[in-house]
Amino acid sequence: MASPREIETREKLTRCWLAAEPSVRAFVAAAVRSVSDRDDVLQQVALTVARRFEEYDERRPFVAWALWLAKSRIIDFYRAQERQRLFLTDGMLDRVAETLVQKHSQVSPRREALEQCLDALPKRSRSLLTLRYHDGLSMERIAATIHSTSGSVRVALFRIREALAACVERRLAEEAGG
Amino acid sequence: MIDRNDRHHIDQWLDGELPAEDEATLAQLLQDDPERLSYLADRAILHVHLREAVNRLRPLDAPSARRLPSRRHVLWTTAALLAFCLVVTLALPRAAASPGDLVKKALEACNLVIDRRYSVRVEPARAHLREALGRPSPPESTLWVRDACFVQSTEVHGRSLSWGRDARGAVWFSLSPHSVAVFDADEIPDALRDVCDLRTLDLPTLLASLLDDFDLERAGDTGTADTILARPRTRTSRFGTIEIAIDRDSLRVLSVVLERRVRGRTVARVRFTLEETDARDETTYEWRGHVDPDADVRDRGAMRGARRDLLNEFLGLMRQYPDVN
Repeated sequence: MASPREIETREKLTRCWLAAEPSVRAFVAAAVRSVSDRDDVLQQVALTVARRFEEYDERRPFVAWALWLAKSRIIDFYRAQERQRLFLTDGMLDRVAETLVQKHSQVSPRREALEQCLDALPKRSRSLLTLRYHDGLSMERIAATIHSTSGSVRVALFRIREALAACVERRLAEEAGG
Repeated sequence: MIDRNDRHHIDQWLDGELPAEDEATLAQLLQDDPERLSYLADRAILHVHLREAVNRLRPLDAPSARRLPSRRHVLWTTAALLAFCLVVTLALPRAAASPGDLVKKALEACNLVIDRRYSVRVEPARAHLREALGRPSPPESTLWVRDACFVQSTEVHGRSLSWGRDARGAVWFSLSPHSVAVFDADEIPDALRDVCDLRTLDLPTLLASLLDDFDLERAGDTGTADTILARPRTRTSRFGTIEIAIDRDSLRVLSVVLERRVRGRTVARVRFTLEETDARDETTYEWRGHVDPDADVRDRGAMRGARRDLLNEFLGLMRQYPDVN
C-alpha cells in the first residue's frame, strides 16, 4: 500500500503534468514530423517525467523541466530513426522551449479566449476543425468528406487558424487593457 | 511580419503534411529567423489548444468521420508518383519549369501580393442562343480580392451594384448608395453564398486546388508568359477546364479562364484579367466604403423581412442571367 508521502507525490506529479502537457505536446509537434511519432515521443516524455520526478527541483518551473526532458527524448527519437540531422537544431529546440515557457502562464486565458472565438466561427469552419482535430482526418480525407479539394481544405484551415489566432490576441489585449 | 508562405508551411508541418522536399527549406528558414521560430511555437500551442477545444465542442458539430479508413500514405505516394510523372512527361526541351512547378511558384508569388484588381467577364455557354433571343450578355465587372475577401461592382440596367465579403466573413450587397444589406458569416443564405462563389476568384485556393486535383499541361508560350491548361481529374468538379496565364518574370497570374459547371454541365466561362495589384486598406472590403454615410443598413438587427426584400431584389438582378446563376 502506498504511503501518504507517495500518494502526495503522485498527486503532485499528476497536477504538474496535466498543467504542462499542452506545452510539451506543442514542443514535440514543433520538432517531430509525423503525427503518430509525436504521440510515441510524448508517451516517452511522460514516462521519463514520472520516473525522474524525484529529481525535479521545485524552485524551477515544472514546464521548463519537462521541456528539458522532452528535448532529450526528441533527440533520442531522431537518433533511433538514424536521421542525419534534427528538423530543429539543439539551439532552436532551446529557443522554442524558452518561448513555450514564457507563454505558459497565459495558457488558461488563451484557452478561454480561443473557446470564445470558436463560438463566433461559422458552422462550416467549425465543421472543418472538427474533422481535422476531433476525427484526425488528413486534408485528403476531409476533402473527400465534404466534396471539396485538399488544396481548398488546406487554405481554408490556414485561414481559420489565422482568424482564430488574431481573435485570441485581440481578446487577450482587450482583457489586458481592462 | 512573417511571409505568408512561411506561415502556411509552418501550418503544414504542424499538420504533419508538409511535403518532404520542403522540410529542409523550412528548417533553414526557421534557423535564419528567431521570429519564425517564435511563430512556430505560438502556432504549435494554437494547434494543441484547438484540439482540446474542438473535442470539448464536438457534440455541437458535424457527424464523426472517424470510421472512414485512412488512406493518407496511399494518397501521398500516388500524389508523389503523379508529380514525378508530370515532371518527366511534361518537361519541355528547354530547361523550363514543369507546369506543376510553375503553378506552385505562382501560388507562392500570389501569396505575397495583398490586393488584386481583375476585370471579370462572364461568357454564358449558350451565348449565341442568348443573342438570338435578344437577351443581353452579362456586363463586365470589377473585382478586388484579398484571400477570401472581395468586393465586386458592376452596372445592371443602369443600376450600380456592389457586393463583397469582408475580413470577418460577412457578405454585404448594395443596390444603391442609399441602402446596404449585411449578413454575418453564420447567417449567409445559400443563394447568396452561391452568387459569391460563382463570381469571385479566390486565387490561393484555386492554385492550391490545381496542384492537388487537376492534370496540368503547358498550353502556350507568348515569350513573356506561360499558359497552363488544367483539367479536373473528377467529373464532379465545380470547374471544367481552367486556363491560366502566368507572367514568366513576376510569376503573377495574368488571367484565369474558368469553366463553371453545374451538375456536370458547363454553364459559363468566366474570364478574370488582372488589371493591377496594390496594398489597399482593409475598408476596401467593407460595406461602409461603398454606400452613403447615412445609408439604410439592414443587418442582423434590422426589422424582420427587411433584408429579405433587398436580397430578393439583388438575386433577381443576378438572375437576369440565368445561364450563369
